Amino acid sequence: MTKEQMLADLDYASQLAKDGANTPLLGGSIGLMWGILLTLILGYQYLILAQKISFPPETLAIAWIAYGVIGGTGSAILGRRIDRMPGANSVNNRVETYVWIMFVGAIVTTAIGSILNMLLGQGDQTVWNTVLVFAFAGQGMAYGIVAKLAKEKILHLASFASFAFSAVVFMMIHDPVIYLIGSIGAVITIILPNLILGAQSKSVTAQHG
Amino acid sequence: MADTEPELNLDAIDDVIHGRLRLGIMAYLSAVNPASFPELLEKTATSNGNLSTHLTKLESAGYVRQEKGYKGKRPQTLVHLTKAGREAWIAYLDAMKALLG
Repeated sequence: MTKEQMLADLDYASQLAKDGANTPLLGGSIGLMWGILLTLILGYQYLILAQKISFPPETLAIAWIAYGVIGGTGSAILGRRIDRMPGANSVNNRVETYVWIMFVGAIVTTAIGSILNMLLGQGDQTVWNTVLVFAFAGQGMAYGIVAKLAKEKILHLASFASFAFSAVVFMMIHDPVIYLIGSIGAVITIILPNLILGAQSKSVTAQHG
Repeated sequence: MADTEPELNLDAIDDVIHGRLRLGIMAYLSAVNPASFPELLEKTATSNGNLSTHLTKLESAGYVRQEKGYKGKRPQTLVHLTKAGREAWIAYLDAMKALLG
C-alpha cells in the first residue's frame, strides 16, 4: 500500500467520523412541542390569576395535568421517531437528551416540593411561582451545556435569554403577570430557537442527501 | 530514482482495522455509538452482505458488539464500539500518525 492510498482511506474515515460528529441536534421537535404547550398553559394561568377570564381557578390543576400528559405522550412518540434517525446516538444528541431528562427531574422535584409546601399549609401561591424561576434558570443551564458542546450560537442566545427571564420573573414573584412574562419567555427561549434549529437541521439533511 | 511511491511498512498497523470499510465503520462508531445497521449501511454506502462480513471480522476481534433486538415490532441490530475497540482505534490512529510522520 502506498502513502497516497493510505491517505485516501484515512480521508474517507475522517469524512465518516465528521459526518457522525456533525449530526445536527435532533431534539428540536420535542422542544418545539413543549414550547407551544408551555406558552398556552402559562398564558391560561395568567388570564385566570389576573381575572381576565372567569373560569374557576380549579381548572388550572386540570390544565397542568393535561399539559403533563400531552407533553409526556408527545415526547415518547417523537422520541421514538428520533431514535431511528441517523446520528441519534452521536455525543451531542446523547448529551442533549440526558441534560433535558435531568432538567425535567429538577423541575418535577421543585414542583412536588412546592405542592407539598402548599398542602401542608406553610406556603402560598408565591411558593408555586418559584417553579417558574427555577424552570428558566435550569433551562438556561441546559441550553448552555448543549450550546457549548454542539457549538450552536442560537442556543447560547437562548441560554442567556432564559437566565434573563429567570431574573425578571424572580423580581416580580408576587405578581400574576409573571405568567404572562413566562408565556412570552417560552416563545422567545423555546419556540424560536427550536424553529431555527429545525430549519438548520432540515437544510443540513438536504445537503447530505 | 523510481517513479512509483515506495510501499509503506505496515507492521505496526492493526490489520483488523486497516481495511477501507472497517476503517470507516470504526471512524463512524467513534462519533456515533451505538449505530444501527441501516445507519452504517447508509453512511458507508456498501452492500448488506459486505457490511455484515466486515462487522463479523471486527466483532471477532472484540472491537464491536452487535446487539440484535426489536424496536417496537421491527427487528433492529445495533452496533456498539467496545472498550477494546476504542483503545484499538486510538492505538491505530497513533500508529498511523507515527507512520505518516
